[in-house]
Amino acid sequence: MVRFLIKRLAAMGLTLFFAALVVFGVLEVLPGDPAATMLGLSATPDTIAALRLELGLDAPPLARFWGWVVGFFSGNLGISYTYRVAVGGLIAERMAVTLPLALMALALAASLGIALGALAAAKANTRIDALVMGLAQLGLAIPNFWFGILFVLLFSITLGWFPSGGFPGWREGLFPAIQALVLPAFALALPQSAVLARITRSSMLETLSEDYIRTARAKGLTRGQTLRRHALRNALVPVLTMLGLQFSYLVAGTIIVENVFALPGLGRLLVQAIGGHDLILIKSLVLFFVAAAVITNALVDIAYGFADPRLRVART
Amino acid sequence: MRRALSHPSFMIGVVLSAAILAVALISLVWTPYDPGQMRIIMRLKPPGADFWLGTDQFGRDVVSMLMVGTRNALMVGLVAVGLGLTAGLVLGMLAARFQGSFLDEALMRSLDFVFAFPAVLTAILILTFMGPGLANAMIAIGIFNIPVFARQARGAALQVMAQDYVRAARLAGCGTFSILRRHVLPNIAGLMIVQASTQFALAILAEAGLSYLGIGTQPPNPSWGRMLNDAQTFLSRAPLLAIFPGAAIALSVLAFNLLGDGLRDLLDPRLKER
Amino acid sequence: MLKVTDLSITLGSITALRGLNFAIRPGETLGIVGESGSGKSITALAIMGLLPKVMRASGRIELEGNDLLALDESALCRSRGRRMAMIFQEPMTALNPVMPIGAQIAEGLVLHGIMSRHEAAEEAIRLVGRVGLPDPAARAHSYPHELSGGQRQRAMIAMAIACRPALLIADEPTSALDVTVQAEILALLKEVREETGMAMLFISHDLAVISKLAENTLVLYGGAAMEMGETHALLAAPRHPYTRGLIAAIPSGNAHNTRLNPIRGHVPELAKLPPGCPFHGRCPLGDERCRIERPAPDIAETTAWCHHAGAHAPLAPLGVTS
Repeated sequence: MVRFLIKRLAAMGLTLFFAALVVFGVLEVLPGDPAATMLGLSATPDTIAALRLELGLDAPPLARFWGWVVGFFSGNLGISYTYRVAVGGLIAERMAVTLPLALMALALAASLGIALGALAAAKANTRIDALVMGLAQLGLAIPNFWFGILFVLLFSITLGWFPSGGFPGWREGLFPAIQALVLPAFALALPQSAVLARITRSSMLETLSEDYIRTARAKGLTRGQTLRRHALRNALVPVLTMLGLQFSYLVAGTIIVENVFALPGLGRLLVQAIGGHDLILIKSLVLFFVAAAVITNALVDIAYGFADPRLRVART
Repeated sequence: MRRALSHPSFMIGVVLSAAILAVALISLVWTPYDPGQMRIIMRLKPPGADFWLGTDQFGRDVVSMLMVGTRNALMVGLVAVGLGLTAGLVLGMLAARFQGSFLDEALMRSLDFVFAFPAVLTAILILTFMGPGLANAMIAIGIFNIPVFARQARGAALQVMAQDYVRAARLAGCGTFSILRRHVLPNIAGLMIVQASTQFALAILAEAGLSYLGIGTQPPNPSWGRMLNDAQTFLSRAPLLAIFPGAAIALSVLAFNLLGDGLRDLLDPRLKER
Repeated sequence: MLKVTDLSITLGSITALRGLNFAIRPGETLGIVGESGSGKSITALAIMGLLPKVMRASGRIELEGNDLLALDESALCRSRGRRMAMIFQEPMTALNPVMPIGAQIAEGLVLHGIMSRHEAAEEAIRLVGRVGLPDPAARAHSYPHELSGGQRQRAMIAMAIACRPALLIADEPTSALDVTVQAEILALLKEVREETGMAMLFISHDLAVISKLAENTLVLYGGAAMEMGETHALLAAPRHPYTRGLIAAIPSGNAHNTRLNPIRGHVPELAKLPPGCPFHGRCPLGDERCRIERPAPDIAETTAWCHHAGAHAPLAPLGVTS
């Protein structure tokens, strides 16, 4: 188990390092002079030279790369060109919106998707099954930002239950902040819950045909008890894997959904940074999103090892 | 064939996709109005006899914009999936043929690496580097399609090459490429088509998302994602503007997903038993 | 104790089992022997109330006086595991891979409200020891994949006898095991039966295995009873041609140069069975009457459902040597 853990973490570190290299290469080395890119058409040689100095672009790329990577650990990622504040602080501040949003969406997607998928499996080939799977097919087809817009139309403009966008900040109290996150979280969660419902259903059906399910029934467990005590845990192993992947989709999904609801999170920051050609901000933000994905995937793999005793033995 | 006709969701998928394709083709020769023509006095008109689905904030005809948007969406899907499929198929089959070699390892590791990036983010990164636009969006979406196809092609090709008749062909002295072309490709084509259909739906979603963010299709070229973004500003005055493009996206994605699911059921009867 | 009357099972228009009658007294074992498709496993599932939804059972299955077929699902759940328990053929897959075996054994005790969680855990350890697994306290925490096939079947037996059921159904419990392990498991089953005084329904395709355990034997073919009676009588003087064929097909351990006598032909499809005796097509004595007319039970030393049982009875066990 320990060896597996070390191997998996080392692989994760290596992926992150290469990711940093690619992001840095694409954004800072390949486009030629980043200073000119950032300043755009209005640049004069003087302003470009000044920016180059500010960014430390005269140092060789390798040294700049190293400085950036070290900065990731010390939190010193430079000063955002458009916002004129430290990138590290900016990311930390915006994270207070994005992380709760992604976690809320994950919890929603998981509970909805697993519950509906299990229901469809329990009622396989009935009308309920057909209805749930039809809804899932629809959920797969509707993009999260259209869900967002539809929610605003219904719950904000027509019913007035939730704000249509913006974020009051956590200082204004827990309730208004959460209220502002409910619609975006649902918009993010619904398409993912459709994916989860489909996977849960098929995994559940596969598990329900196993011999040990019959053993459990022969022991006197009711259909429901068998489902909960024996089928669910085995059926959830592939669902768990998917859930890990989902988290990275959800984090990436915040890029769009935060723009629908004008939430001051990392995703909106990224789009604004792209609009402002703020390469310093972009590269750290992109790596941040990639790191979120890579790290969750590694954690899921490790959790997988704990959930399934067969793997635990096979890997030690 | 009879099985296909009695598979209801597959038939819905076929009919819907055919209709969508027809709309895109018609838009090449005819739209009710010029989709780019602005008429400020006619702005934000509700649906009516002149403008069937109304006009947007610049007085442009929504039907015409949706039609050209359909064409753009399908084009992105076609090019992106074409790119991903071709590159993925070649890479995947080569990796399978030279299984275990350095080439295979390097290829598969680097594809794993691309997989580690969330798709939207890859596209955003590429578009930041290459600049926004329809053509670049196609390439960006195509690139994150490559590993999907490559992995599947490799896995399927390995299975085919383990079959006795392929071993026999190899022993009989058939060259690598003739084996790949004559034995492997026809056997994995079905699987690839199913995957392509699903990826096509995903590509439409991705293009809509990128255009919504303003880094996909650029105005005045109409796109569904862009239309949704514009509509959001006038949500309380003209809510229907936000309904039509979204419905267009959802219908197309639904169509190609149903098509893909149906094809998979038909190609693999064992799965259908479930 | 267990009394099955006129049990029939249908799957759509196909009759998988027709009009079966038998009874088992406490402490007694009935062996059911037959080829695959003979209806022996669905008989077991019907008693447990675990038939696939598409199958319909009719007739009466009385366990301690209650008609199981008339019980609703929740009443059945209360009997399952507690009054009747079942052991399956495949110990590899019949245990939940992500649950320690001790927990799987204790589960029934807790759910039926017999013991507290804590008591059940201790009882599970005792049972693990009882079925002959070494170091029971540690084994109870093992997962199924950490045990051998024989050990898993022992764990299955522990699970089945945990609630001291009145009836134990064993569906080919040794067929997936090595021969030496088979003998051990059979010995264990015999022991627990004597200890608990429960009735046992032992299902196997192997008449030799059944003869080691069962006082009475029922021979099934094509969903119908062929012959039933005391095991030793049935083995010594089989009256039904199918039983004779089965006995002839048993390899006798001491004769190297004897030829095995397989029954000619193949098991017919249930859907294509004629109204008469299902065996008539493969039967050396089969005639037109056998095809059309269902044979009535012919009661002598054993009961045989055969038109020719009276005329030729008793037939000597043929074919061991020739």
